[in-house]
Amino acid sequence: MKPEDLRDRDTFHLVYQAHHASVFRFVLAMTGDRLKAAEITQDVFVWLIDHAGRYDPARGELNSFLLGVARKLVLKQIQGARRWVELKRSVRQPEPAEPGNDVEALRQAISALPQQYREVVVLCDLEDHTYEEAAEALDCPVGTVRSRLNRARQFLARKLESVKRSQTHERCSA
Amino acid sequence: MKDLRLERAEIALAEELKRTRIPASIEIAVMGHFGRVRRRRRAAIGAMMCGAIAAAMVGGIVIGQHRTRPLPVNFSPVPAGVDKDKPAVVTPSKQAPARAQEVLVARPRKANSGPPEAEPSAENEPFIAIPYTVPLGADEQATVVRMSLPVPALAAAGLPIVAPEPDALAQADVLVGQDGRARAVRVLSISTNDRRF
Repeated sequence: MKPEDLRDRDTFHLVYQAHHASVFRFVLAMTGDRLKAAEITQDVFVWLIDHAGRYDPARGELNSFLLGVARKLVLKQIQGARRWVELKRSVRQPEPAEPGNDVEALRQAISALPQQYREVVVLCDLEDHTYEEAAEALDCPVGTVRSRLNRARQFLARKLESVKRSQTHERCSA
Repeated sequence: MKDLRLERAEIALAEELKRTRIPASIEIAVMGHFGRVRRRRRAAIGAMMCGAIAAAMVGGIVIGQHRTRPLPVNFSPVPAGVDKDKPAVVTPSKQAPARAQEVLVARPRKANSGPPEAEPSAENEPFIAIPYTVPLGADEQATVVRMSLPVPALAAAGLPIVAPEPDALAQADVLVGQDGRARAVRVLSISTNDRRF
């Protein structure tokens, strides 16, 4: 795929059809907010329309490039959101995961991860991208992806273990 | 080594993510933006092409005017020691030698566009200043007018010309200053009733 091809409407539509789901899921997993995910996904493709020439096929796949753009927009959004604290979050702690629901516990654990660990877990474990693809999207070496993923998995395993322990403790006390 | 419980939870979460419905409004907004950008791009290309054509037309007109416009020339003063009876020869201005040189070969455009006439070689000759006239200034513009003049009148004005016949006519280019006075003459040909020199 050449950058000039993206100026053709039909080709661009095909590109959108092929990649929008992947971009949306990545942003959704990173932000945990459907509205923000939709907004950022739209921004990614609008950016691609305006800056199609920035894509260099020699540097990697278009999907990795789009995920890299999405990541930067997510970071921008996170940095902008730091100045504001939601009222409900300021007065109420997040609800604990339901007993036996590992998915919800994992979701909360992932959202609690630092951003650089969260993105490798989302790309490699949830979206099944290879280490190389993740490295292209994150603009870092493959070794960095591996080490970050290893640490993130350890953290998530500990978190799930603590949830399990607390559930067992609750059952015993009941 | 990945924790088994973590792996199961990740698979379940990935499945849940894949089932997530993506809003159709994104596609509508993105393709709408694509159409707007394409229209803007086409309009910009059209405007650039129109601008280039307009610039080329203006450039052509300016160059055309520059070629036909009469340009200032200077008469070289008669240096000391030179015979004053001998008429001075018009030379290009020192300030604008290239432009003055153009005057010597410039031809006024004719209104009617007929077939081109054979130009006499006398047109390459320099102008001869009319004696005792005020020389043209450096920035003064002059006009070349082609006309028929009685040869005796030219001789009477002090030009070194011999009239073969009393009623002979000279076809000449006359250099006229901004004040309307003739400053120099270039004789192209002399004709009598039955002959042409």
